Amino acid sequence: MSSENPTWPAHDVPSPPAASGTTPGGDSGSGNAGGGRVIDETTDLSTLTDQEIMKLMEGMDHQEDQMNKPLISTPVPLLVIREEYEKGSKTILKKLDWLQEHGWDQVWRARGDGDCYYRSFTLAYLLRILHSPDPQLEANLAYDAIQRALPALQEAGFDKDLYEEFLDPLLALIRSFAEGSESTATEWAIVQALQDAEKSNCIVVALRLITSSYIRSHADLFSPFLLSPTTFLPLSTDEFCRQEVEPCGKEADHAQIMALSEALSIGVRIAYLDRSEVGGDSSAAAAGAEGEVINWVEFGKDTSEADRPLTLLYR
Amino acid sequence: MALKRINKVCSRYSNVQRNPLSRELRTGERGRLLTRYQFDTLAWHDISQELIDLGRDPPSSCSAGPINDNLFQWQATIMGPADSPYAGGVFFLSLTFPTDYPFKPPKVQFTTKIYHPNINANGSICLDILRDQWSPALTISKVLLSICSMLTDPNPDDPLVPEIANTYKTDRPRYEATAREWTRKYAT
Repeated sequence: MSSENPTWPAHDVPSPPAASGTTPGGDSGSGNAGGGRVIDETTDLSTLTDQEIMKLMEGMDHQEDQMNKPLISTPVPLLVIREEYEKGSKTILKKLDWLQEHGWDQVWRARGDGDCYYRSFTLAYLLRILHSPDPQLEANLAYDAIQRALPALQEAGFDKDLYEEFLDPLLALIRSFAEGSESTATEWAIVQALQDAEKSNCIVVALRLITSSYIRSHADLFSPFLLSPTTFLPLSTDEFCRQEVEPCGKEADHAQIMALSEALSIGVRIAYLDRSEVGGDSSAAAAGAEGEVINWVEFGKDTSEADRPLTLLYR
Repeated sequence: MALKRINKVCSRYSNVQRNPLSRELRTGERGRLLTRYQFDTLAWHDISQELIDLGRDPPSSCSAGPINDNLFQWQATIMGPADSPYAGGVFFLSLTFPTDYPFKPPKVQFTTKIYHPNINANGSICLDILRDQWSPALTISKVLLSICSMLTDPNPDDPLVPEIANTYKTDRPRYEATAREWTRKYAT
């Protein structure tokens, strides 16, 4: 791979289901809840009993086709993504073509299970180390950055034994990069670790706890922006962290993405693959000419090309 | 990870010492259980280490431990909080750990009958941290303490048994009398 890092992980998220009429797990065969009636898209949600709702929520864990996808894919050409939009929005095709022309010709896809941001972040974070001019130095810097984030975890009241266990797979990878081991400091080792459910989920939890403790320790900064994604009502810092950051499967939004990039002092830029016309976004100004085609959303202190920010694709 | 973590939790409860399985672990009867759970020697080493560290930090009002030699099936007890109509009662719960614990929550159910807006006749508990707000950073002692505080402070706005929630909201003395009556009948 060239130093331009022309490959990038996709924060490969399916768009959220339409607000009305969508029953969790409604078409997944788990609809036969409670007293044996069939619950599907046509069921009046207000008639659901608590037991039926509980059954349905349990069923949400097993949305089959999502669960059959790998947690992180091996890289696929960007053209594969383009094919999915061939009959769709022209704006999106234009954005994909721009990315292709500018060297972003591959994506790693993350399973859309609500943990995709944290997994994509990990992949991009580790690839950035691996493909830096001095991977051993970069690995040591990353190791230090993680260590610096840990006191906040203890202050937030997380059990040291537990979070160290969650962190272990990530630190093991970074240590192997620092040692420059030829057998383990590879893209394949990263993908393998992230495809292994246990290691991958440990890393996700570790990043969630780092994110949570950063938000908790910078409550004054974050509290005005902490809203429930379902009700849009303000949440306290503690509520937000307990409900939206610490549990697995909860999507990362602006607050979480910003907290994680600040906590680990790493720039992140996300290309939003949406239908919006481009160039109107103020954050695009920082990206210069690029902003004319892609709406980049940027997080962290330094997202300039020179600092090699993590680059993710959201769709 | 599930077994390792369960043991980590296990090690916090002193009653584990009385459990036949932990005796087995400490006397080194490893082979049979190893093949049974297919765990690697490293995890096993951790488990043995954890079990040496028994009795650290057990919550005073709760206890928990494996029922027999199946580490994924536990029983817990909760003492009815003094400032609640459940005072004086001892409530039993069953805990079932999924194989992907701690990434998925344990299933927790009351096996003792209890009159409470958030606990139904099957013993199912309506508690956010046992469902969509489960976090792998939670421990069994935190879960049990949350259940204790739910006994003191029911959440009638998210009820599992609407009739009890209604009584709780509109006729508190009757709710308390019934809860006390059930506690006396089933939990003492």
